Amino acid sequence: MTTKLTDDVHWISSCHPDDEYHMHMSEYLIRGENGTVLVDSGSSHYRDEIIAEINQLTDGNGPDVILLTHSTLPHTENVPAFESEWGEIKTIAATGRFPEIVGLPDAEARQLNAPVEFAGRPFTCMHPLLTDVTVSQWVYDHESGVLFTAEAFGHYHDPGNCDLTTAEMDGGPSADHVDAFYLDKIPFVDYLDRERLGNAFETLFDTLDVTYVAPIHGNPIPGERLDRYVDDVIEALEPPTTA
Amino acid sequence: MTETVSTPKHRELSDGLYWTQECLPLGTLTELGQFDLEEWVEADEDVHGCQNAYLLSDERNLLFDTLTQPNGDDVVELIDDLLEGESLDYLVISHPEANHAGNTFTILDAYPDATLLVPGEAAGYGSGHGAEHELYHIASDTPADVDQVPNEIRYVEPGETIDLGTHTVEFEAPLFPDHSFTLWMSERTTNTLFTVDWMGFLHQSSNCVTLASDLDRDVAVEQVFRFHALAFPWMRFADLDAIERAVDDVRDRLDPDVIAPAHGMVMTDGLDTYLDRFLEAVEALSREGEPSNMESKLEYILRPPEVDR
Ligand SMILES: [Zn+2]
Ligand SMILES: [Zn+2]
Repeated sequence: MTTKLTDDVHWISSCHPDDEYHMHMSEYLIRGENGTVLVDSGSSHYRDEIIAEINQLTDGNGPDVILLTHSTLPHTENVPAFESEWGEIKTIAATGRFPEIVGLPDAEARQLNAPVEFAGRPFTCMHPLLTDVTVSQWVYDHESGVLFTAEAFGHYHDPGNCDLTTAEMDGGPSADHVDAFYLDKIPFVDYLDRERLGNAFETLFDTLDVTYVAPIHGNPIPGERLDRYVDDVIEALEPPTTA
Repeated sequence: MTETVSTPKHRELSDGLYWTQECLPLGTLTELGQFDLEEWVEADEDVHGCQNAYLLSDERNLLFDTLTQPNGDDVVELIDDLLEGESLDYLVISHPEANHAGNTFTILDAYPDATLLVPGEAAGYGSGHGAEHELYHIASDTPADVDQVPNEIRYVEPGETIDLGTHTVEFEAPLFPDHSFTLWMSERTTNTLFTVDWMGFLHQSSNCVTLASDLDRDVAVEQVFRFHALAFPWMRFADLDAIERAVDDVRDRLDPDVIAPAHGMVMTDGLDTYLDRFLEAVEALSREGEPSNMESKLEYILRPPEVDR
């Protein structure tokens, strides 16, 4: 399904169900001055529904640029399928060198830490403050103020909350859903100095004017809810007392 | 400079245990301006990153990781050569990342009787949402209907062993994982610990597929630092005491004679020295995560577009 996040940023999401809760597998489509930028290509599991949503948003033309937040399978598997659907698409891998070894022989390597224009719109790609694998990046869209992230800022959600921002969810995402996500995805929690990581998040949001944090695996978080959300994340990173 | 992944080289570590390596040329000192490499590399010398895979040839044969897709055909050819016409019985995937698992289906296709062993349990505290999904879709040539692959696919967990004949491997819970589905492996006869992403380091182009103790220079902390900064970016925010406790656990409990990493050289002598070097490297890395450093770094990274014009 697609939800309009800002005037020109659209949130496309599929839900991966478990016994109790869902996990988002999201992509974001941004309308730039000269075309559209798709952040992430989603999971091959949901390929058909993603293609249908993008067709609707782009009048069947497909995106002009694909900007990947992580170059791991299964998250890159849709790139070849999208190209057979819509023709060649400029693709930016979440790696500085050798995109072919992450399975993306035709992709371009990323440029970090300075604004780069895609579809006539400036984006800054940066190393994530917290993620699992090294072939990942966060992307800041200077015009909308949306920061796209993986894996940090992910959380599970209850069925029924699939297409809401955290501000629209009753009481926001539950601490349990944040906690369970981090325990699943961040296997090195035991080694993190949570205070220093918390300081880094604080510095990030003091430096950057963020309208939304838009995660690949969670509901988008509006800027005014970030302080509380970061507190929940730091709390979630506390290792359980009984292993 | 054309940057291409080298074709796989190999070396026999001990009877029936083969180390295969492909190298990623990262450039020379001038091209790596932001690196401080003087200590361990000459100005005109290429720096390499690498990927390793390990083959055990015994009564039953096992391959640990696959190297990367540009080398798919070469990897199959090399395994064929080393196995001298015998078949592969087990392919083990340490974790579902393309640089470790990218040739999974190419290799399974070449060896339809091989069993694929993948980590079945999340490495951290979690149960691992979406395990099946993450683990089956590990290569871009994954068949649309993966259930139709003739190979048996089996989840394995820490503590499980496989008897290969004279060698026995055991799967270990990883002490330093990145992806939540990760397994380390040990081999009992040689007392080798396969540490996957941990304990790698960059190397000079003269030192490909060479034992750490046979390199033409000592391993510098900088080599270890640069690699771990890439592979484990979270180490900037590391709790150094917790890291040291885990390293002690490797020394005391696992107590290997050989450390065989996925992105560095095999270490057979003086393992304590290399472990100490890792501790120095992570200490240096954690200084990058100090609030004052993060502040200037983030201000630099996040400067608005007009500053650049
Ligand atoms: Zn949902
Ligand atoms: Zn090399």
